This record gives sequence, structure tokens and C-alpha cells, in this order.
Amino acid sequence: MLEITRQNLRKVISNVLESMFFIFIEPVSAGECARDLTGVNFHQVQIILTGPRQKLDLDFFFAASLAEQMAANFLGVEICDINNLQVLDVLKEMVNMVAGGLVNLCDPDGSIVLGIPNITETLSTAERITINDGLDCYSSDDGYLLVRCLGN
Amino acid sequence: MAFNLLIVDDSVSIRQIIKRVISISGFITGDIYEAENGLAAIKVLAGNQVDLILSDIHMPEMDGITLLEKVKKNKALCHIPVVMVTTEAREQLVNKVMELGASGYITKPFHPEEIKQLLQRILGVEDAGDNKTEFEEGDF
Repeated sequence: MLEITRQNLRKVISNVLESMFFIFIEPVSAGECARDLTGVNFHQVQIILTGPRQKLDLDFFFAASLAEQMAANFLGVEICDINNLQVLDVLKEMVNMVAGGLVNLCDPDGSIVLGIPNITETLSTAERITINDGLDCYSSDDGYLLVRCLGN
Repeated sequence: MAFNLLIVDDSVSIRQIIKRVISISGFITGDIYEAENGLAAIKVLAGNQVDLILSDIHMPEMDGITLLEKVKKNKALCHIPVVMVTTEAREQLVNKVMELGASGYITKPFHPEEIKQLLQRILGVEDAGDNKTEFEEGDF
């Protein structure tokens, strides 16, 4: 079940990033990603989806460079004109759109309740992120996006 | 004729995007008010004339459904069209807000053209203006 959710999540993330942020991503293996992340800073955003029997925790880790480019593309301004509050607001909105898209796909009848995205780390180094097979890794021209999907 | 608009969303970025879409669509707007949740929207509505509300659903303090219910139950406000702009497209939710009196429903991610066409329909205008009427990628 969690694997199907992860597959749907991959589709939704690509769709949202392409259509609203003009960012194109490629899935990469956790091993490949781990070799490339030393010293990279990430913003972490979490959202919780609560169903009648189980809960889904989604954690998104955006490389700082990717986050800035997303905000610039979304707002239609240059990166130099973006401030940190705008970046965080755009990241939360991206996570909100992804979570909404996911429940539209996985739960069309509507029993899952969507939480409100929460910034859990404004900037965290990659060394603090556990990179393993439970983490979906994506590369883009502007940096990595890592997504952890935990069901309980 | 210029219309006054209230955009309700806890995301500043989304409020900015919607304002931009409306602006480049060529709609003639009067005042554009913003509120970060339903509670703040009620305060705006208490002191200003608003012709159209665009509201998110999931917001802290007061969500968009509660706002919609309050607007539609208030004799002084119930004539104002309310369009829900949200990430969820589940049929159950769409039906619920339409039954509560919403005039339209737009799902994020949205194409600017969707907002333009919906507003044209609700406001009863044939074309929004001469500035720009067709969107292309990157037109946010």
C-alpha cells in the first residue's frame, strides 16, 4: 500500500513542479544522491495526512538552491529579489499542492484529512538527513529534492 | 465596471499569483483586499464592499468552508459570489462547497486561463480586456 502511495507521490510531485514551478526532476538512487550531498543545505517541510485507520507523514527536503529557484519561478521574479520568508511560503504551498494532489489520487472518496504544511527546519545540512531506500531522491538543474513517506 | 476582490489564502505567494493572473487577464479591478484566513476575511467584509471572494479551503483559525457558510448565511453578504481555490479536487468536497453556495471551484495547481474563464462567467463579462487574453507557459 505504501509503495503505491509512493508511486502516486512521484507522479504528483513531477506534475506540480513542472506545471507551477517550471522545474523538471529526475529520480536518482539514494546511493547516488548520498555521494553528492556533502555540505548541501536543505529546507525541511512536513505535512501529515490523517486517515480513519492510519497516518501518513510526508517530509520534503529541498536543497536551498532549488528552493530559491522554485520561489523565483513561482513568483515570476529574479532570485536576487527573493527573501527567505517568500522561499518558505512557496515551499509550504508546493507541499500543500502535492499533498492535495496525492489525496485526490489515493482517496477520491474523501476520508483522509489533509494537514497544514509545517516548516520543521529552515536550513539543515544533508548530514542530518538519513539517506536510505525509504527516501525518494530527485535531481534537478537547481539541486536535489528528497522526500520521505512514512505510514503508521 | 471595476469590481472589488477579496483573496483569502494563508499563502502570501498564492495571493500574489492570483492578483497577477487577474491583472494580466485585463480585468478592471477596484480594490483588491487580502486575508490570511476566514477570520481575517470576515473582518475585511465587515468594513468594505466586496464583489467577489476567492478563497482557499485549508487555512488555520477559520477555514474556507466555514467562511463560505458564514457569507451565505449573512443577508448582507450572501449575494457575493465565492470561488474556492484549493488543492483538493475530491468529488465529495466539491459537491459540499457547491451545495453550500460556492459559485465555482478551482484546483491548484491551476492554469491562469481557468481563473480568467471562471471570473468572466461569474462577473458576466464577454472578454476581460485588450491587454492580454491568452496565457502561455510562464505567464504567472
